[in-house]
Amino acid sequence: MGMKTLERLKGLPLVVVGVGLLALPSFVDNYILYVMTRLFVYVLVALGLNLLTGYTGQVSLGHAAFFAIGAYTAAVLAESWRWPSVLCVVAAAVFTAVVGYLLGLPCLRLSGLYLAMATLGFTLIVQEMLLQLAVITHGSEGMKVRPASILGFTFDSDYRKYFLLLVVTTSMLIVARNLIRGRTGRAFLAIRENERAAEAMGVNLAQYKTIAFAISALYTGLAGALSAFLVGFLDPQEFSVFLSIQFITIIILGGLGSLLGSVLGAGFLIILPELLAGLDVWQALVYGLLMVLTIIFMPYGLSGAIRRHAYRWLGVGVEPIVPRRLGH
Amino acid sequence: MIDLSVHQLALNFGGVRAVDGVTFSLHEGEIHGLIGPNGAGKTTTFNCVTGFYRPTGGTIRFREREITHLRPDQIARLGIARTFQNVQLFRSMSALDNILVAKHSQMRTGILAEALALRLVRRQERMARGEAEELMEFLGLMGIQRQTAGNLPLGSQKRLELGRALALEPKLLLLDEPASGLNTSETQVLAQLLLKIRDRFKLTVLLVEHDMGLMMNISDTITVLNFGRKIAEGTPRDVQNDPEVVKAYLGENSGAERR
Ligand SMILES: Nc1ncnc2c1ncn2[C@@H]1O[C@H](COP(=O)(O)OP(=O)(O)OP(=O)(O)O)[C@@H](O)[C@H]1O
Ligand SMILES: [Mg+2]
Repeated sequence: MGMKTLERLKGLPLVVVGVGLLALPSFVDNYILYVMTRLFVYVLVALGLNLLTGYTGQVSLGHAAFFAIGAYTAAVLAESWRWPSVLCVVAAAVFTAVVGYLLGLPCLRLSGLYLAMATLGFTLIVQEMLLQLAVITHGSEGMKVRPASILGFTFDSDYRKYFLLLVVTTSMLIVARNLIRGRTGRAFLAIRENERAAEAMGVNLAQYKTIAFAISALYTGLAGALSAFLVGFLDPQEFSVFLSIQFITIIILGGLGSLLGSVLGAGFLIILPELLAGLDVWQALVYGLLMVLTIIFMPYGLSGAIRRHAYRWLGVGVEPIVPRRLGH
Repeated sequence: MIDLSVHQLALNFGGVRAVDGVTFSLHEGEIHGLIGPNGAGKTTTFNCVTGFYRPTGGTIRFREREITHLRPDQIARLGIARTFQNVQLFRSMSALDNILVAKHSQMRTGILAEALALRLVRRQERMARGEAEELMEFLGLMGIQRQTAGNLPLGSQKRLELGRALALEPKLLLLDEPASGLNTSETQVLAQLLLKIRDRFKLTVLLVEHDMGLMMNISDTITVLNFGRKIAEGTPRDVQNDPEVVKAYLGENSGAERR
């Protein structure tokens, strides 16, 4: 089989996955549908975080906060203000984007570990605010959220939630791909690769870094808002630094600067523990071990490994270069 | 017409006067050489003109507009492109994408339009790609468009960096040691290429280079720096015979060795 044929077959896995995802609900039980729905939420966050950290090179441990802001904004608008669900989700995503932009401004002076620290502080602050602003957020009691509905159609079953998230996540994946392939995506990458050269080519660093923060927050706020409707309850304890670390783990394991990596990393983090559930007390141990092995043998994540092997064995794509690692 | 005028430019690093009251100007369409022994302040001058360093004194004007305190990206968008003494590419991006980054400010698409891949975005993208490929062909870089920039041999990397600067469609091009690392015949090819580039793109060029043969061949005017000060200026012939210049180069071994 020649290289040309292989290149042409590149779209085939996508078609197979697409058909598989559409057919899945007919074959599996509700619990698996619920896990898949959660996976889609995490993919959304991973896409957003990867745009900022993987593509633009700006580390963030603040994404649990963006997730919380999206979730609580949607919940408050829905429960206290009785806004229609669609408006709640859109408003929550946009509001989170604005917050992301504003956080991006002071972060312009920082990079690497220092940026990680500052954004980690942001997560701590927001979580504390969720607890303290009880008038709005109900504090440590948490918040109940009724299922979303669009024009009388209520997303109250696992089946319906699955398709809602499948559609939204796929659309946002396509949007991310479009951005990456265009002028904005190249500016992001240029900043990650070489800030000085990017500036010399007319890329406004401040502008594009804050845009990256805003877009990244938009994805994460959207995921948070949807998750509020899916789970039906918001517990402020969940939006901790640990969640931020989970998010960053997803994109490092999956592959920084790779959309495929965002999907694979989320899969690793969400599906693997389910598969290991039978191991009982050994579960956490095996899971941790797999994580260590993955990062040792695939330092550029699952997608990096796939890309390297596709080039080496099938001659597909281009010879990858070792990208600089986080924090450098 | 004067393209660039640098007036009493000064920059100190702690106690070091890297550039110390330098004045010179570039006429439209000329190739202006900037020479001097190691550490004379050539790269520092470049960094001031392109906004990477903020001078401690003096003014820089580009086509009657003061640019002394502008940011690098603003200066780039006004039409000043540069290469770096140590090649600075976007290493894990493809060669073509490196060039396309420079097309950034020529493209007029909003983020929303890009997110939805609207037709106008695709059209502009196609156009930019066409222009980038044309430029790569002109520079003899065909066949490597899809290769990862950081994997290319140094010669191609330098050529690509030059291409990236040209893709900005500048009026003024600043080249910091474009011939370093090239052998004699490659340097001759480069000299011809630079003349061709100047004529084809109607550029003014400010050129830093240690290769005196190259400098004498293609420069219209040469400014000589030593220890941050201008010690001579004129045609290549004038400068070559200037006693100050001879002394500066003889007194500094590494400079003399490099011809
Ligand atoms: N960022 C900096 N910090 C401190 N000192 C600097 C810095 N950049 C340059 N210098 C000093 O300024 C002086 C001029 O350096 P510059 O790089 O401009 O010289 P140059 O003429 O380009 O030399 P070369 O031919 O070696 O490239 C040198 O003494 C150098 O050590
Ligand atoms: Mg220099």
